Amino acid sequence: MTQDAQQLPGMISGGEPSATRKFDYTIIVWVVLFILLVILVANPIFQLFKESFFVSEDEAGGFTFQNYIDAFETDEYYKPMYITMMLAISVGSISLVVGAVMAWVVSRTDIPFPNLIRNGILASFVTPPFLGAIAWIFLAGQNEGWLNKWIRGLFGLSEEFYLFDIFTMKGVIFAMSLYTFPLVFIVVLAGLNNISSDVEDAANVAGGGTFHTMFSITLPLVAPSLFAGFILAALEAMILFGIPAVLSIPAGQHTMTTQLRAFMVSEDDLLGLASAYAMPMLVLAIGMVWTRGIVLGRRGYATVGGKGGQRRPQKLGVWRIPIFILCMIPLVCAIVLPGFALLTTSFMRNLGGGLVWANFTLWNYHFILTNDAVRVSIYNTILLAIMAATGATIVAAVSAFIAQRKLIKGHQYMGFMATAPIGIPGIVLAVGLFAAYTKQPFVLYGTLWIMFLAYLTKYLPLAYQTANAGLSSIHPELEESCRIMGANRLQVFKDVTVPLFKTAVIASWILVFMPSLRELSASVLLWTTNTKVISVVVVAFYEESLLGPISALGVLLLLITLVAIVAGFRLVGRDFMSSSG
Amino acid sequence: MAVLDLKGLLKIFGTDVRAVDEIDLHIEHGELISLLGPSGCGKTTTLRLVAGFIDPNAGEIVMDGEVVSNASSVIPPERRNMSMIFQSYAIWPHKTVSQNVGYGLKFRGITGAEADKRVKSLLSVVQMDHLGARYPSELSGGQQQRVALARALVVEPAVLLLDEPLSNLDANLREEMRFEIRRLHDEFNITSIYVTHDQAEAMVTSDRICVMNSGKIEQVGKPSDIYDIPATKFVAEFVGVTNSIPGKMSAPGLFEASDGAKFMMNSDGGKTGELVSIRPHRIQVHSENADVGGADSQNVLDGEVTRGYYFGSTVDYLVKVPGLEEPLRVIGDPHQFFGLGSKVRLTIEKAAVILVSDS
Repeated sequence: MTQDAQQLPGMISGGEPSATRKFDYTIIVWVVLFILLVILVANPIFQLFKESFFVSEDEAGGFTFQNYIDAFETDEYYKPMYITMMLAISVGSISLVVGAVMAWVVSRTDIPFPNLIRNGILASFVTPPFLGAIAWIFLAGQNEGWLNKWIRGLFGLSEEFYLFDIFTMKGVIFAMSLYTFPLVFIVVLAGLNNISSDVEDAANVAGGGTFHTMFSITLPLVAPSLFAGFILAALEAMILFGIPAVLSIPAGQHTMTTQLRAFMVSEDDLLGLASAYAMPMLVLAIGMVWTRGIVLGRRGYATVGGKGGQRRPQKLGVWRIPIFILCMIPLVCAIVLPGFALLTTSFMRNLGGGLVWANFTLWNYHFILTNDAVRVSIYNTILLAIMAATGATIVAAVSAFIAQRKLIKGHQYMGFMATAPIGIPGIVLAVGLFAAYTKQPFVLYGTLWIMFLAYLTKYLPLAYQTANAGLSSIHPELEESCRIMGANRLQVFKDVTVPLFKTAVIASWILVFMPSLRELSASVLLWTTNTKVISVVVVAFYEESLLGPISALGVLLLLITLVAIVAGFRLVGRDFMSSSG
Repeated sequence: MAVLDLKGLLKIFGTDVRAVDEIDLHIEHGELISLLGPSGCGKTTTLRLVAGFIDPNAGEIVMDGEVVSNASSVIPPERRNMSMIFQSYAIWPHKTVSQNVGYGLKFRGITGAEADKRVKSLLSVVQMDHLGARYPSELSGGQQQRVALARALVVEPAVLLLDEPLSNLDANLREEMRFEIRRLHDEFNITSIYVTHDQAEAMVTSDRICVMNSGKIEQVGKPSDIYDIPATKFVAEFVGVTNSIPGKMSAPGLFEASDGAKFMMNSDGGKTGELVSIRPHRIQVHSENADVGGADSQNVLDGEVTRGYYFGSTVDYLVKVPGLEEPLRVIGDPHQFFGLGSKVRLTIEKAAVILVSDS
């Protein structure tokens, strides 16, 4: 055996001291990350602050509070803030109730087809809200809405009668809730799954029935998740641009996001006013994310007891079928009806012509596939989504790797840096990027790069959380055992780290790719003729009332998203949509 | 095959946590030495220093006369020809059992049929030859442990490092694997360092035990020496159960407890200490006024039973003895049971009274 050992190529041989003191690359990594953070977050936010204190036309005029005074004292500008708050609270509350009840039903009861409900909710989660809103115009417009027509026909009512009108504040709240309640569902479901079923069984044993147990035991335990879900939904309602742009502007009412856009596209240079106007959104959004972090951070309470044993579903008894039907209503409203409306409209010659063969046409598809602006936008959308997904995943994977393997000094701040943009609303970020990169020496406005920066910043936290979660499941000893068997750092990386980390990296890529496809709130401020993306074209077509082509474009967008999801399930497995924190 | 020398090895974490505090240890060729101590005593840090995963702040590690680690230069783990068994087994989940075991061979220029042969032979040594094509997720904890052993041994390392290898196994399996590890060591005779906090594990597997506490070595010796002749109070109490009696040497061969009781003991060889350690099973229990004979060759004490738990094979007593602050813990013969409050006579051989230092 001595002989064998002497022959081993990897053996310590000769007397030369091996130089293993490696070059300290700490500084380089930090400099690169620091510059990245400055470009992505610090500079745009700084420029936003700066602009808000200057009257735009006259920078020489110097420091002023005039923008803030204008933004908060003018009734016309003040009212959208009030409307937005009202929307956030209403949508947050409705989403909370719907999302939490459905999470409880799916996780705790013997409801039929729980996976159908779960997948349906995930489907509404990935549906672009602006498409949903447009589809609901087809369904619930005052005169032409199919649901109104159907009811008139059913009861023989006059042409003036309508039951639904989507162009109202109620309509906006309804449409928003359809696409924000999944946020509550996901958070509360995670919270519920963390509660040991033993505590509920104990309540049952003590004599509590299904509903009593839910209210007295489950509900208090899951309270942090409920609060976090409400915050997420309210925040989403506050920063959504698509639905208000589609529904509330025609109703004559701006929200903060649409008002911001109105400033930005105004003939006058209102960048200063827009910056001041964006401040309350920024502060509120960051405050909400921060509050949510604190509430969920109380781990001892939020993750009570871990997963405990076999879960025994609560019996719903006679309520089983009625509750199932109730649970299907939001899903039908969020995906089935809008999907049907978009698909059929995309093949209609005349929107009012109904579902008859004579009204069938492929013209809408022909139009979008031959229209140069649309073709550029499809190309841009896919290119940007690939760039954003790749960029965010690389930055996220590298910083998560450094943080978890403690590779450099200060590794513990890596997570903070990568998730720093969390909570910055897309549209506010866009104002900041606009302020930062439209002037010398960094003129990025008018290129895809500025949109790339926006997407990268917006989705980096998501990518980081996914990569970090994936990496933390790889025990460092798996790598160390590889080292000691004779592999150097590079071989360890190739043979162990990459194969095990791959899944999380792919999940992260797809989780950024999908929302990038439909990104609207930042794009709508940053696009120029050559850098249109699909979502921007949809809004532009909407303003020109080109509803047929919108439907075709919407169907196309949904198809691309579907391909991404299927690819995700194939490559990563069932849980990839919930793998981020 | 290797002889290891740790000389003045120091590892400081942060600014002032001396995890390994200037230890010296010589490990013979083919020896299995265990590092035993409570968590945080520096045993795992010592092992990782030997493996080359961490760099020492001072001192050196010498392997077969060659410095492999010192404060300025560290040969990386992959060039030390060592193997390591990890607490988590660290079996790669994306490789089959055979791929796991065979992984290290390619770095030693062994490939193809020869590699297959070695993998097969090692798998049969650990009784896993029928499971080569399985993935780790399909294996039980004990089987994963065997894969880890096969993977570590197949490369015929100069040194084998084991980091609490059995702590994730259930009690029965743990007992079985202790003997398995000793068997494999006897078969391969590789210089091994075994880190554990379980004294029974250390006793069964090791040629010598190195007891560590707060980054320092308390005592190094054969298992029987560690148990029978502990050097310090810490060793006496960490390895097994003992009665620690504070006091001082009042004359050669005579120890006087703080509260007055006197113990005769064998020549202390000039040792100094502030306590004596007496193992509970080295104390015999007799009935009151029994004729035990030879009061000059053994210690005779009278006391009263304040507690007696019957364990089937033994009885665990506490006996209050005048002149001792704490009652003595005594392991007695169950065939003669003394109830609560019984007056008893205790005898203790001189050789069972061991002088230990307090630190």
